Amino acid sequence: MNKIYSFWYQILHPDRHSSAFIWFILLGLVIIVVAIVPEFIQINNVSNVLIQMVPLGLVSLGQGLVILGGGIDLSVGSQISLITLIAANTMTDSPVIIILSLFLCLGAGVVFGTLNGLLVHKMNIPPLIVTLCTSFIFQGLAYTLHKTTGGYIPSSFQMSLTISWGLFSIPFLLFLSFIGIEFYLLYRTRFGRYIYALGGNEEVLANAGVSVGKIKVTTYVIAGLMAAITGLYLAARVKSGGALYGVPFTLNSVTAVVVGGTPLSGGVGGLGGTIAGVAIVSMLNNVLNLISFRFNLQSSFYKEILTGLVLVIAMIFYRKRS
Amino acid sequence: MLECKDITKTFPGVTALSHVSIFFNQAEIHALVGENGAGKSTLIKIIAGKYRPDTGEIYLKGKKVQMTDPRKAIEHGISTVFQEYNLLPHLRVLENIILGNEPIGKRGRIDWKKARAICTQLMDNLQINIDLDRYAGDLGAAEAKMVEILKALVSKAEIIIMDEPTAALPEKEVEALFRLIRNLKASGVTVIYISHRLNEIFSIADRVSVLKDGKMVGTFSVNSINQDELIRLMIGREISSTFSYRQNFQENPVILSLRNIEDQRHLKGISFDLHQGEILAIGGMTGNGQREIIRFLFGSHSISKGEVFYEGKKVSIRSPRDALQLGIGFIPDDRRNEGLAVTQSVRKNIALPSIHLRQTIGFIHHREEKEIVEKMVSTLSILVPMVSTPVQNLSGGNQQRVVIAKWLPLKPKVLLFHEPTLGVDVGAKMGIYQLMRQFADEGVAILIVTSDMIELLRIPDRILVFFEGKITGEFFRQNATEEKIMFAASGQKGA
Amino acid sequence: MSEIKVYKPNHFSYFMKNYGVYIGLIILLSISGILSPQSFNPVGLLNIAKQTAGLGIVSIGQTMVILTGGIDLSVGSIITFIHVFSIGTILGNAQLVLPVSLLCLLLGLFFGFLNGLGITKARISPFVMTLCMDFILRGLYLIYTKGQPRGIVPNNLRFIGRGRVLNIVPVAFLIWIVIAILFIVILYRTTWGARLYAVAANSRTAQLSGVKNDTILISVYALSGLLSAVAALVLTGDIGAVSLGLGRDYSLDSIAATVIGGTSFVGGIGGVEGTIAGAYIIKLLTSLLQKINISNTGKLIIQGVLILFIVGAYSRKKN
Repeated sequence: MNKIYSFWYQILHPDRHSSAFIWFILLGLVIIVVAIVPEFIQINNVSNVLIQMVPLGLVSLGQGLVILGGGIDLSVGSQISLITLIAANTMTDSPVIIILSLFLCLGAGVVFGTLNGLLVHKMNIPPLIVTLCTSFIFQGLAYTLHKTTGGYIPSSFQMSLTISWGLFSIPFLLFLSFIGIEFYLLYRTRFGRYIYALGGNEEVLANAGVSVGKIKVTTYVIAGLMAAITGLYLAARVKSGGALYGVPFTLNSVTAVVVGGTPLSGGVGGLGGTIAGVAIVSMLNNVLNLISFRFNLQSSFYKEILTGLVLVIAMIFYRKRS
Repeated sequence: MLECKDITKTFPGVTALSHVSIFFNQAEIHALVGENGAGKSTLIKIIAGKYRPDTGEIYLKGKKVQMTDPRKAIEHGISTVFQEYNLLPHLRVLENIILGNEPIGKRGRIDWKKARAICTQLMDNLQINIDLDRYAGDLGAAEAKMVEILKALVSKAEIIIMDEPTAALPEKEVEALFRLIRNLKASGVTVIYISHRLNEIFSIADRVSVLKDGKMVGTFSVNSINQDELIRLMIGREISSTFSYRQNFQENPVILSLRNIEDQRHLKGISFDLHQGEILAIGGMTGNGQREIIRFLFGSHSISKGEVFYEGKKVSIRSPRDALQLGIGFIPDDRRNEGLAVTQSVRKNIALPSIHLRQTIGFIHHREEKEIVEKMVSTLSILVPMVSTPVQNLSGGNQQRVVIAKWLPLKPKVLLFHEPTLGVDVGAKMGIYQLMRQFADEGVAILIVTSDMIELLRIPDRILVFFEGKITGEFFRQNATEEKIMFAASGQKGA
Repeated sequence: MSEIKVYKPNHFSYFMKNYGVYIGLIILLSISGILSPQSFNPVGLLNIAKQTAGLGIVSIGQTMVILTGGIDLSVGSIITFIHVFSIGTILGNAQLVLPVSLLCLLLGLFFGFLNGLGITKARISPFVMTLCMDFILRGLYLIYTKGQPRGIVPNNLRFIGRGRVLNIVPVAFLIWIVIAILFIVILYRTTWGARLYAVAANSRTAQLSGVKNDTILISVYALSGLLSAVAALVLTGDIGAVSLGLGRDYSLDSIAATVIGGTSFVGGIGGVEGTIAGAYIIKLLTSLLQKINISNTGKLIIQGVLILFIVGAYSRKKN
């Protein structure tokens, strides 16, 4: 093996195909953060961060596949909101109804994803525009379903999804299992290779006799499914549904994926990077909260700026990968 | 083995193939030749399942088959190695080779062991050796081509179509490729080989079929025909005699002077002079620095060392705008993507580079622009009904004339041509050569980069041959022969 | 083979592509006329015109950006930022209006310029760059106002937003139309405009024809920022008081107006003329929906469907 594949070269050069690099950045950031804001490392806070990572992580798993395939899904945020509302508007205390509602939500996610995928593939419209427009549509639908009371989420549902003991918690385990599923999908099956090919060069994939449309649409369906799961989890966590619940997830999931080393053009990158990206974005948000608390500032103002800056920096940093 | 009967295919406005019948034997290397637009590309796309014929049938081993899509063709054992790069640079060689044909193990996983075994076996059969774990983007041109052939073979192809496989290959690699192709034939594979390089065809093919204007002219055993006859069949007429060359350009002033030009990867010390009124051609196998030097002269490629002198004064050409201001024009090889804005009108395309000459405080002089454009159109004999016609409606030869027309209003002193007749059929080629000669006689200095040996031997006054970023040969046209040029192009410094 | 390929024109599709937006405008006008005949007279129409001015001005900048294949998602925040900044600086003092307005125009130009820089020099995709600018500006104006904006609008500024010439024609509308005509002339008659359309049709060819692509792109985004600032001042004058939600809808609405107006992201097709009609259509749609009591929700959905429909119709379908 020549120099190019040696460990240190890969660490120091983000234009090669490894995600080891971003994990080092994550480690570095953690060290810096702990130095500046020591309260970060308290068990309470770490456990918090891990749990807070879950919804973003779930969504980003789906977004990561879409972006890897060369597309983008800007509608995930409004899908999440809509799903929380579907759940809040249909659930009752009856376990049968809960299960049905669950399936309804998951089914909705699949439908939304299929819609996105078909519009991108069949109508040949750029994914940016398609998902921007479907985000309008989903958001509009969410507004219609929105109730000031927040709808109803049964306590049993909430409890089953939020149990935690110290650092371990159901949500995090949920996240880990989905990571496992996606790992298998992306790295062990043909489908995973085809996603990389889709993002690398669609033409090459088509020439190899593979149905490009199937792969494309499936990535959006997975994104929709993950958005639905995130929506269900959020609804359980806050015990309600809301038209604005999903708003931060769109940009944050894209940021997480890009920071993790998958460029918007797709074809390069992977699961490890995306998870590191999720960790970084969540951590930065958490730190911002801690700092705002300490200095008595309104964190929501600064969150916006932070997200924007992080994304810009990530794009400049990874420009060689596109 | 494979027989096509009476294939006809039309696209809006043009008949690509008309009642073409052809058959390919098993274990033969069958060449397909014809001018651009003769229908070769369409025929193989039909065989490969990318297009459906309007009429006609395809028989494989005696049985009729329907090629509904590329997947079907692959299943039938027909694989294509395209002219364009068809690999995924960010994936490894192994992954590229098995794309679409991954062996499946338990529970839907890819069986990498089996994949590796298959690839290694194939490489052994063909006596080639490429590291399966390298990223495809790191491969050289020839290795990449071989990987593409491996890709075609993984699907157990019995028929492999190769479209211009040697287009980007240096000489040594072409031999390696030919060895591979002969090995393929020995293992029973049929190879359908498309190329413009007739000398290659005579060295590798068994039989050759000629297409002209969508019709099948005939199929011949390679032994029974010679190159000139072949060309005559392709274009239906003799190639015009050579253009006369000029010898006295040496007395003309030197307009461009390059000294010790070097860059990061491709150029290793290039020095030459270009005279007014001279046609200077740069030849040699593609990929030896020719593209970089011509783009450098147009401000589109950066160098690390060396100097350029324009009319005796040292200059720095850092952007196309700089080149333009010096009076240098550029006709790129990829005219659809770099030379023209195909959705815009002929007028807008032609007017753009010289737009600053016809304005007051930024406002364009419309009438003057129309006059100039129409004058260009008639001077260059561009066939358009109106100058407002979108460029995409024109034929290749006419489009090339539009690209040339862009520069004329600037009264350029130097014109750079990169593959001036790529995608232009033989009839139109002559017209472009005549234009070049005309410009040269009017005092314009012309620099051509070409990989077309015929062009190289018959058009310029002087020829430079590049090899691995250096000049290995310089010939005046009267002294140039194909052998000498090939010699220099392969690295031996000229006699 | 023939020298010229003849594409048999599909007359309906050709007609719709070039004039469809005007047909749509007429249809919408008719519908709104039927629904509320009392406002369907010159005064009523001019009222609508006045309300559309802000969107119209912003959309001109967005049109030029989209022509070059980009997108400007920061216009909404630029508008709100300039809005609160101008009010917060003028603080009711009529004499400060002129200098502060000029400053605001410079600010708008500057923000746009930053967008352009990021896109050309740092090679960040327009979507990401302008979206991040949007976020950053939003954070900035929230910090500036600490969530509670204050200030009043002096009369001369109100004149720009609300005043009328000859008691009929709204000043805002005039400003919009003048700017629109200015840019139409610039786009079709100047070298800068020709270069912009060249970059829009094929940026690589434009560059190899001597066009300085980066300069064109930076100037386009800078102009978009400038026009957002102009719109902000007009809207501030119109609304007369401070509002943190002022610019919120303008990013998406201006994109919708541009796309509906026939401007495409690829190929250099479209222009400001269509966007004028497009802006009207969006405003009419908004007010129509308000009348039927659907408002924000429905508008969002319809806008999404409309843009999809139009972009889809313009895209060539893969076969």
